[in-house]
Amino acid sequence: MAVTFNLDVVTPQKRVFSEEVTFATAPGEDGYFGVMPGHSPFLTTLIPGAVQIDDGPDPRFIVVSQGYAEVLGDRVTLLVDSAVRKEDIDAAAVKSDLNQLIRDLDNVDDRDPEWALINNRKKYAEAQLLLIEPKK
Amino acid sequence: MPNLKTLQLRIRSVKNTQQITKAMKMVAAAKLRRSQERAEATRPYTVGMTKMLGSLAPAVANNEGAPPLIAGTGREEKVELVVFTADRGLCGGFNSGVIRAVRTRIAELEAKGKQVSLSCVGSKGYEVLKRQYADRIRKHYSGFGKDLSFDRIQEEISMDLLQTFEEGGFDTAFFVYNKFKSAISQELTWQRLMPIEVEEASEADDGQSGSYLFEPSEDELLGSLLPKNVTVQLFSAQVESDASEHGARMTAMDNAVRNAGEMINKLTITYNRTRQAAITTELMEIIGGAESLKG
Repeated sequence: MAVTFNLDVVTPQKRVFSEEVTFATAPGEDGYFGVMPGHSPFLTTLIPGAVQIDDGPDPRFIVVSQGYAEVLGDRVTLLVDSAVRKEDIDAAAVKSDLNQLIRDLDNVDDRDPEWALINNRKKYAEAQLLLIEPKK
Repeated sequence: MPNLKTLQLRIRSVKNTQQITKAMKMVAAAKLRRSQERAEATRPYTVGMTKMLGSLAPAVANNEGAPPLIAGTGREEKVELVVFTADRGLCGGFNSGVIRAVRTRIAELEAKGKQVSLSCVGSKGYEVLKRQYADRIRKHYSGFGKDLSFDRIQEEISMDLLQTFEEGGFDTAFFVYNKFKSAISQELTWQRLMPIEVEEASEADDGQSGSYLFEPSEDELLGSLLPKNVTVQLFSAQVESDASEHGARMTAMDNAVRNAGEMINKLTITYNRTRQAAITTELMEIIGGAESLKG
Protein backbone atom coordinates (compact mmCIF):
# COMPACT_ATOMS: atom_id res chain seq x y z
CA MET A 1 0.00 0.00 0.00
CA ALA A 2 1.34 3.32 -0.99
CA VAL A 3 2.04 5.68 1.86
CA THR A 4 1.55 8.84 -0.13
CA PHE A 5 -0.71 10.06 -2.88
CA ASN A 6 -0.47 12.89 -5.33
CA LEU A 7 -2.50 15.98 -4.52
CA ASP A 8 -3.19 18.52 -7.26
CA VAL A 9 -4.92 21.81 -6.63
CA VAL A 10 -5.73 23.37 -9.98
CA THR A 11 -7.47 26.62 -10.88
CA PRO A 12 -8.18 27.96 -14.37
CA GLN A 13 -5.27 30.34 -13.85
CA LYS A 14 -2.62 27.93 -12.66
CA ARG A 15 -1.64 24.80 -10.81
CA VAL A 16 -1.44 25.98 -7.22
CA PHE A 17 -0.19 22.80 -5.62
CA SER A 18 1.10 19.48 -6.87
CA GLU A 19 2.97 17.24 -4.44
CA GLU A 20 3.06 13.84 -2.85
CA VAL A 21 1.28 14.03 0.48
CA THR A 22 0.26 11.58 3.16
CA PHE A 23 -3.06 13.03 4.21
CA ALA A 24 -5.48 15.79 3.26
CA THR A 25 -8.86 17.09 4.29
CA ALA A 26 -11.07 19.16 2.05
CA PRO A 27 -14.37 21.03 2.45
CA GLY A 28 -16.94 18.91 0.62
CA GLU A 29 -20.46 20.14 0.10
CA ASP A 30 -21.76 17.65 2.66
CA GLY A 31 -18.97 18.29 5.14
CA TYR A 32 -15.22 18.02 5.42
CA PHE A 33 -13.73 14.77 4.26
CA GLY A 34 -10.30 13.30 4.79
CA VAL A 35 -8.31 11.40 2.21
CA MET A 36 -5.55 8.93 2.96
CA PRO A 37 -3.67 6.73 0.51
CA GLY A 38 -5.83 3.96 -0.90
CA HIS A 39 -9.09 5.90 -0.68
CA SER A 40 -11.79 4.49 -2.92
CA PRO A 41 -12.76 6.45 -6.05
CA PHE A 42 -14.76 9.45 -5.02
CA LEU A 43 -16.28 12.50 -6.67
CA THR A 44 -17.73 15.45 -4.85
CA THR A 45 -18.38 19.16 -4.99
CA LEU A 46 -16.34 21.53 -2.84
CA ILE A 47 -17.49 24.63 -1.05
CA PRO A 48 -15.22 27.51 -0.06
CA GLY A 49 -13.01 26.49 2.87
CA ALA A 50 -9.58 25.39 3.94
CA VAL A 51 -7.80 22.31 2.65
CA GLN A 52 -5.42 20.85 5.21
CA ILE A 53 -2.42 19.03 3.87
CA ASP A 54 -0.48 16.50 5.97
CA ASP A 55 -1.30 15.70 9.52
CA GLY A 56 1.00 16.28 12.46
CA PRO A 57 2.41 19.28 14.20
CA ASP A 58 2.95 21.44 11.15
CA PRO A 59 0.20 21.02 8.59
CA ARG A 60 -0.03 23.22 5.50
CA PHE A 61 -3.21 24.94 4.39
CA ILE A 62 -4.68 26.07 1.11
CA VAL A 63 -7.92 28.00 0.97
CA VAL A 64 -10.09 27.01 -1.97
CA SER A 65 -13.31 28.41 -3.39
CA GLN A 66 -16.08 26.25 -4.77
CA GLY A 67 -15.13 23.50 -7.17
CA TYR A 68 -14.86 19.75 -7.52
CA ALA A 69 -12.73 16.98 -6.08
CA GLU A 70 -11.88 13.69 -7.65
CA VAL A 71 -10.14 10.87 -5.84
CA LEU A 72 -8.96 8.16 -8.17
CA GLY A 73 -6.23 5.66 -7.40
CA ASP A 74 -3.24 7.51 -6.00
CA ARG A 75 -4.30 10.85 -7.44
CA VAL A 76 -6.46 13.48 -5.85
CA THR A 77 -7.44 16.39 -8.04
CA LEU A 78 -9.16 19.49 -6.73
CA LEU A 79 -10.56 21.65 -9.51
CA VAL A 80 -11.48 24.98 -7.96
CA ASP A 81 -12.25 28.50 -9.15
CA SER A 82 -9.56 30.03 -7.00
CA ALA A 83 -7.08 28.85 -4.43
CA VAL A 84 -4.44 30.48 -2.28
CA ARG A 85 -1.82 29.09 0.06
CA LYS A 86 -2.10 30.22 3.63
CA GLU A 87 1.23 32.05 3.52
CA ASP A 88 0.13 34.01 0.44
CA ILE A 89 -3.04 35.43 1.92
CA ASP A 90 -3.05 39.20 2.05
CA ALA A 91 -5.28 40.00 5.02
CA ALA A 92 -5.79 43.68 4.23
CA ALA A 93 -6.73 43.01 0.61
CA VAL A 94 -9.12 40.23 1.57
CA LYS A 95 -10.82 42.43 4.13
CA SER A 96 -11.45 45.26 1.72
CA ASP A 97 -12.67 42.74 -0.88
CA LEU A 98 -15.03 41.29 1.65
CA ASN A 99 -16.50 44.67 2.51
CA GLN A 100 -17.00 45.41 -1.17
CA LEU A 101 -18.66 42.03 -1.72
CA ILE A 102 -21.04 42.54 1.18
CA ARG A 103 -22.03 45.89 -0.28
CA ASP A 104 -22.48 44.30 -3.72
CA LEU A 105 -24.70 41.60 -2.28
CA ASP A 106 -27.11 44.20 -0.96
CA ASN A 107 -27.54 45.65 -4.42
CA VAL A 108 -28.36 42.39 -6.16
CA ASP A 109 -31.62 40.53 -6.05
CA ASP A 110 -31.07 37.15 -4.41
CA ARG A 111 -32.92 35.36 -7.19
CA ASP A 112 -30.43 36.71 -9.71
CA PRO A 113 -27.75 34.14 -10.68
CA GLU A 114 -25.26 36.93 -10.03
CA TRP A 115 -26.12 36.75 -6.36
CA ALA A 116 -24.84 33.20 -6.03
CA LEU A 117 -21.57 34.12 -7.70
CA ILE A 118 -20.96 37.04 -5.38
CA ASN A 119 -22.02 35.02 -2.39
CA ASN A 120 -19.50 32.34 -3.28
CA ARG A 121 -16.77 34.93 -3.55
CA LYS A 122 -17.78 36.28 -0.18
CA LYS A 123 -17.56 32.85 1.39
CA TYR A 124 -14.15 32.37 -0.16
CA ALA A 125 -12.96 35.63 1.37
CA GLU A 126 -14.42 34.65 4.74
CA ALA A 127 -12.69 31.29 4.61
CA GLN A 128 -9.37 33.03 4.06
CA LEU A 129 -9.90 35.37 6.97
CA LEU A 130 -11.01 32.55 9.23
CA LEU A 131 -7.81 30.65 8.54
CA ILE A 132 -5.41 33.47 9.33
CA GLU A 133 -7.42 35.03 12.13
CA PRO A 134 -9.32 32.23 13.85
CA LYS A 135 -12.28 33.40 15.89
CA LYS A 136 -11.69 33.10 19.59
CA MET B 1 10.71 57.79 -65.15
CA PRO B 2 9.87 58.71 -61.56
CA ASN B 3 11.71 61.74 -60.37
CA LEU B 4 14.25 61.73 -57.60
CA LYS B 5 12.19 63.64 -55.08
CA THR B 6 9.23 61.27 -55.16
CA LEU B 7 11.52 58.23 -54.96
CA GLN B 8 13.17 59.67 -51.89
CA LEU B 9 9.79 60.21 -50.29
CA ARG B 10 8.71 56.65 -51.09
CA ILE B 11 11.84 55.22 -49.52
CA ARG B 12 11.37 57.29 -46.41
CA SER B 13 7.73 56.26 -46.05
CA VAL B 14 8.50 52.56 -46.50
CA LYS B 15 11.23 52.88 -43.88
CA ASN B 16 8.72 54.39 -41.48
CA THR B 17 6.29 51.56 -42.11
CA GLN B 18 9.04 49.07 -41.52
CA GLN B 19 9.81 50.65 -38.20
CA ILE B 20 6.19 50.43 -37.15
CA THR B 21 5.88 46.79 -38.12
CA LYS B 22 9.12 46.04 -36.33
CA ALA B 23 7.76 47.62 -33.17
CA MET B 24 4.48 45.72 -33.51
CA LYS B 25 6.39 42.49 -33.89
CA MET B 26 8.29 43.21 -30.71
CA VAL B 27 5.11 44.00 -28.80
CA ALA B 28 3.41 40.87 -30.14
CA ALA B 29 6.36 38.75 -29.06
CA ALA B 30 6.19 40.10 -25.53
CA LYS B 31 2.44 39.57 -25.34
CA LEU B 32 2.76 36.15 -26.87
CA ARG B 33 5.01 35.00 -24.08
CA ARG B 34 2.49 36.08 -21.50
CA SER B 35 -0.54 34.55 -23.19
CA GLN B 36 1.33 31.38 -23.99
CA GLU B 37 2.12 30.94 -20.33
CA ARG B 38 -1.51 31.50 -19.50
CA ALA B 39 -2.66 29.04 -22.13
CA GLU B 40 -0.34 26.42 -20.71
CA ALA B 41 -1.40 27.19 -17.14
CA THR B 42 -5.04 26.70 -18.09
CA ARG B 43 -4.59 23.28 -19.60
CA PRO B 44 -4.33 21.21 -16.38
CA TYR B 45 -7.71 22.54 -15.30
CA THR B 46 -9.36 21.91 -18.65
CA VAL B 47 -7.90 18.43 -18.84
CA GLY B 48 -8.97 17.70 -15.27
CA MET B 49 -12.49 18.83 -16.00
CA THR B 50 -12.73 16.71 -19.13
CA LYS B 51 -11.46 13.68 -17.24
CA MET B 52 -13.89 14.19 -14.41
CA LEU B 53 -16.80 14.45 -16.83
CA GLY B 54 -15.43 11.46 -18.66
CA SER B 55 -15.71 9.35 -15.54
CA LEU B 56 -19.11 10.70 -14.63
CA ALA B 57 -20.97 11.19 -17.87
CA PRO B 58 -21.01 7.72 -19.46
CA ALA B 59 -22.77 6.35 -16.40
CA VAL B 60 -25.58 8.83 -16.82
CA ALA B 61 -25.71 9.59 -20.53
CA ASN B 62 -28.03 6.76 -21.46
CA ASN B 63 -30.29 7.03 -18.45
CA GLU B 64 -33.85 8.13 -18.78
CA GLY B 65 -34.12 11.80 -17.93
CA ALA B 66 -30.45 12.59 -18.37
CA PRO B 67 -29.85 16.35 -18.42
CA PRO B 68 -30.20 17.90 -21.90
CA LEU B 69 -26.66 19.25 -21.64
CA ILE B 70 -25.48 15.67 -21.94
CA ALA B 71 -28.19 13.85 -23.85
CA GLY B 72 -29.27 16.69 -26.13
CA THR B 73 -32.74 18.12 -26.52
CA GLY B 74 -33.82 15.42 -28.94
CA ARG B 75 -34.05 17.92 -31.76
CA GLU B 76 -31.39 19.28 -34.00
CA GLU B 77 -32.98 22.16 -35.81
CA LYS B 78 -31.44 25.19 -34.24
CA VAL B 79 -27.69 25.48 -34.15
CA GLU B 80 -25.69 28.08 -32.31
CA LEU B 81 -22.16 28.91 -33.41
CA VAL B 82 -19.82 30.66 -31.02
CA VAL B 83 -17.09 32.37 -33.00
CA PHE B 84 -13.79 33.37 -31.42
CA THR B 85 -11.81 36.03 -33.24
CA ALA B 86 -9.48 38.82 -32.16
CA ASP B 87 -10.45 42.38 -31.36
CA ARG B 88 -7.76 43.74 -33.60
CA GLY B 89 -6.54 43.09 -37.09
CA LEU B 90 -3.06 43.04 -38.62
CA CYS B 91 -2.49 39.44 -37.74
CA GLY B 92 -2.35 37.73 -41.11
CA GLY B 93 -5.00 35.16 -41.86
CA PHE B 94 -5.98 34.76 -38.22
CA ASN B 95 -9.44 36.33 -38.34
CA SER B 96 -10.24 35.65 -41.96
CA GLY B 97 -9.56 31.94 -41.48
CA VAL B 98 -12.16 31.73 -38.74
CA ILE B 99 -14.65 33.82 -40.68
CA ARG B 100 -14.25 31.71 -43.80
CA ALA B 101 -14.82 28.53 -41.79
CA VAL B 102 -17.94 30.01 -40.22
CA ARG B 103 -19.34 31.03 -43.60
CA THR B 104 -18.84 27.52 -44.95
CA ARG B 105 -20.44 26.04 -41.87
CA ILE B 106 -23.46 28.33 -42.04
CA ALA B 107 -23.95 27.49 -45.72
CA GLU B 108 -23.75 23.77 -44.96
CA LEU B 109 -26.17 23.95 -42.07
CA GLU B 110 -28.67 26.09 -43.89
CA ALA B 111 -28.55 23.82 -46.88
CA LYS B 112 -29.79 21.13 -44.51
CA GLY B 113 -32.61 23.39 -43.42
CA LYS B 114 -31.26 24.22 -39.96
CA GLN B 115 -31.65 27.50 -38.25
CA VAL B 116 -28.36 29.13 -37.36
CA SER B 117 -27.65 31.75 -34.73
CA LEU B 118 -24.32 33.32 -33.88
CA SER B 119 -22.45 34.59 -30.86
CA CYS B 120 -19.35 36.52 -31.79
CA VAL B 121 -16.52 36.87 -29.32
CA GLY B 122 -14.04 39.46 -30.52
CA SER B 123 -14.97 42.51 -32.55
CA LYS B 124 -13.21 41.60 -35.82
CA GLY B 125 -15.41 38.59 -36.46
CA TYR B 126 -18.50 40.55 -35.56
CA GLU B 127 -17.68 43.43 -37.89
CA VAL B 128 -17.33 41.16 -40.87
CA LEU B 129 -20.11 38.69 -40.11
CA LYS B 130 -22.70 41.34 -39.41
CA ARG B 131 -22.48 42.53 -43.01
CA GLN B 132 -23.72 39.21 -44.27
CA TYR B 133 -25.54 37.67 -41.32
CA ALA B 134 -26.80 40.62 -39.30
CA ASP B 135 -30.13 38.93 -38.59
CA ARG B 136 -28.52 35.77 -37.25
CA ILE B 137 -26.17 37.37 -34.75
CA ARG B 138 -27.62 36.97 -31.32
CA LYS B 139 -24.86 38.42 -29.20
CA HIS B 140 -21.44 39.85 -29.59
CA TYR B 141 -18.72 40.49 -27.08
CA SER B 142 -15.37 42.22 -27.17
CA GLY B 143 -12.55 43.30 -24.95
CA PHE B 144 -11.57 39.86 -23.74
CA GLY B 145 -8.10 40.27 -25.18
CA LYS B 146 -7.39 43.01 -22.67
CA ASP B 147 -9.37 41.86 -19.71
CA LEU B 148 -9.69 38.12 -19.63
CA SER B 149 -10.95 36.44 -16.52
CA PHE B 150 -12.76 33.25 -15.81
CA ASP B 151 -15.53 35.10 -13.99
CA ARG B 152 -16.11 37.46 -16.88
CA ILE B 153 -16.49 34.62 -19.37
CA GLN B 154 -18.85 32.94 -16.95
CA GLU B 155 -20.99 35.98 -16.22
CA GLU B 156 -21.19 37.32 -19.74
CA ILE B 157 -21.02 34.48 -22.19
CA SER B 158 -21.80 31.16 -20.62
CA MET B 159 -24.72 32.37 -18.51
CA ASP B 160 -26.34 33.75 -21.61
CA LEU B 161 -25.71 30.57 -23.59
CA LEU B 162 -27.02 28.31 -20.83
CA GLN B 163 -30.12 30.38 -20.39
CA THR B 164 -30.88 30.46 -24.10
CA PHE B 165 -30.26 26.73 -24.31
CA GLU B 166 -32.67 26.10 -21.48
CA GLU B 167 -35.32 28.26 -23.07
CA GLY B 168 -34.96 26.31 -26.30
CA GLY B 169 -33.17 29.03 -28.25
CA PHE B 170 -30.96 26.37 -29.82
CA ASP B 171 -30.47 22.61 -29.70
CA THR B 172 -26.76 22.29 -30.32
CA ALA B 173 -23.90 24.69 -29.97
CA PHE B 174 -20.48 24.58 -31.55
CA PHE B 175 -17.56 26.87 -31.04
CA VAL B 176 -14.68 27.63 -33.34
CA TYR B 177 -11.32 29.11 -32.42
CA ASN B 178 -7.66 29.05 -33.29
CA LYS B 179 -5.91 26.52 -31.10
CA PHE B 180 -2.40 27.51 -30.17
CA LYS B 181 0.18 25.03 -31.44
CA SER B 182 3.33 27.11 -31.61
CA ALA B 183 4.27 30.73 -32.19
CA ILE B 184 4.13 30.18 -35.93
CA SER B 185 1.23 27.82 -36.28
CA GLN B 186 -2.37 27.83 -35.17
CA GLU B 187 -4.97 25.21 -35.81
CA LEU B 188 -8.54 26.10 -36.58
CA THR B 189 -10.64 23.95 -34.28
CA TRP B 190 -14.35 23.17 -34.15
CA GLN B 191 -15.76 21.69 -30.98
CA ARG B 192 -19.23 20.84 -29.78
CA LEU B 193 -20.20 22.75 -26.67
CA MET B 194 -23.75 21.62 -26.02
CA PRO B 195 -24.59 18.86 -25.55
CA ILE B 196 -21.09 17.99 -24.44
CA GLU B 197 -18.87 15.56 -26.24
CA VAL B 198 -18.48 12.63 -23.91
CA GLU B 199 -15.08 11.07 -24.00
CA GLU B 200 -15.03 7.53 -22.82
CA ALA B 201 -12.96 7.28 -19.69
CA SER B 202 -10.34 4.82 -20.73
CA GLU B 203 -6.73 5.33 -19.81
CA ALA B 204 -5.15 4.48 -16.51
CA ASP B 205 -8.24 4.07 -14.39
CA ASP B 206 -8.27 0.28 -14.70
CA GLY B 207 -12.01 0.08 -14.93
CA GLN B 208 -12.38 1.66 -11.53
CA SER B 209 -14.63 4.41 -12.78
CA GLY B 210 -17.74 2.35 -12.40
CA SER B 211 -17.23 2.12 -8.67
CA TYR B 212 -17.16 5.82 -7.88
CA LEU B 213 -18.71 7.16 -4.74
CA PHE B 214 -20.65 10.30 -5.44
CA GLU B 215 -21.47 12.97 -2.97
CA PRO B 216 -24.01 14.47 -3.45
CA SER B 217 -25.76 12.22 -5.98
CA GLU B 218 -24.58 11.75 -9.55
CA ASP B 219 -27.41 13.87 -10.87
CA GLU B 220 -26.70 16.77 -8.60
CA LEU B 221 -23.01 16.61 -9.36
CA LEU B 222 -23.71 16.64 -13.06
CA GLY B 223 -26.15 19.46 -12.59
CA SER B 224 -23.37 21.70 -11.40
CA LEU B 225 -20.49 20.22 -13.37
CA LEU B 226 -22.09 20.58 -16.77
CA PRO B 227 -22.67 24.34 -16.73
CA LYS B 228 -19.20 24.73 -15.26
CA ASN B 229 -17.77 22.74 -18.10
CA VAL B 230 -19.34 25.11 -20.61
CA THR B 231 -17.50 28.01 -19.00
CA VAL B 232 -14.28 26.03 -18.84
CA GLN B 233 -14.46 25.18 -22.53
CA LEU B 234 -15.17 28.77 -23.50
CA PHE B 235 -12.45 30.11 -21.24
CA SER B 236 -9.91 27.75 -22.64
CA ALA B 237 -10.95 28.61 -26.20
CA GLN B 238 -10.53 32.31 -25.48
CA VAL B 239 -7.15 31.79 -23.84
CA GLU B 240 -5.92 29.67 -26.73
CA SER B 241 -7.30 32.10 -29.27
CA ASP B 242 -5.56 34.97 -27.49
CA ALA B 243 -2.21 33.23 -27.59
CA SER B 244 -2.74 32.31 -31.25
CA GLU B 245 -3.58 35.91 -32.08
CA HIS B 246 -0.27 37.19 -30.79
CA GLY B 247 1.57 34.36 -32.51
CA ALA B 248 -0.17 35.13 -35.80
CA ARG B 249 0.51 38.84 -35.45
CA MET B 250 4.16 38.21 -34.73
CA THR B 251 4.51 36.10 -37.86
CA ALA B 252 2.56 38.57 -39.97
CA MET B 253 4.66 41.47 -38.76
CA ASP B 254 7.86 39.55 -39.31
CA ASN B 255 6.82 39.05 -42.93
CA ALA B 256 5.89 42.70 -43.23
CA VAL B 257 9.31 43.78 -41.95
CA ARG B 258 10.99 41.51 -44.46
CA ASN B 259 8.83 42.70 -47.34
CA ALA B 260 9.47 46.31 -46.44
CA GLY B 261 13.19 45.56 -46.44
CA GLU B 262 12.97 44.10 -49.93
CA MET B 263 10.99 47.06 -51.15
CA ILE B 264 13.54 49.49 -49.73
CA ASN B 265 16.32 47.66 -51.56
CA LYS B 266 14.45 47.78 -54.85
CA LEU B 267 13.57 51.43 -54.45
CA THR B 268 17.13 52.33 -53.52
CA ILE B 269 18.41 50.67 -56.68
CA THR B 270 15.89 52.55 -58.81
CA TYR B 271 16.79 55.74 -57.00
CA ASN B 272 20.49 55.28 -57.67
CA ARG B 273 19.88 54.42 -61.29
CA THR B 274 17.74 57.47 -61.82
CA ARG B 275 20.31 59.65 -60.12
CA GLN B 276 23.10 58.25 -62.30
CA ALA B 277 21.00 58.67 -65.43
CA ALA B 278 20.39 62.29 -64.52
CA ILE B 279 24.11 62.90 -63.99
CA THR B 280 24.95 61.24 -67.27
CA THR B 281 22.41 63.32 -69.14
CA GLU B 282 23.76 66.47 -67.57
CA LEU B 283 27.35 65.56 -68.48
CA MET B 284 26.34 64.81 -72.05
CA GLU B 285 24.70 68.16 -72.27
CA ILE B 286 27.77 69.99 -70.95
CA ILE B 287 30.08 68.09 -73.29
CA GLY B 288 27.73 68.71 -76.16
CA GLY B 289 27.65 72.45 -75.34
CA ALA B 290 31.46 72.62 -75.14
CA GLU B 291 31.79 70.79 -78.45
CA SER B 292 29.45 73.22 -80.20
CA LEU B 293 31.40 76.24 -78.86
CA LYS B 294 34.65 74.76 -80.15
CA GLY B 295 33.30 74.30 -83.61
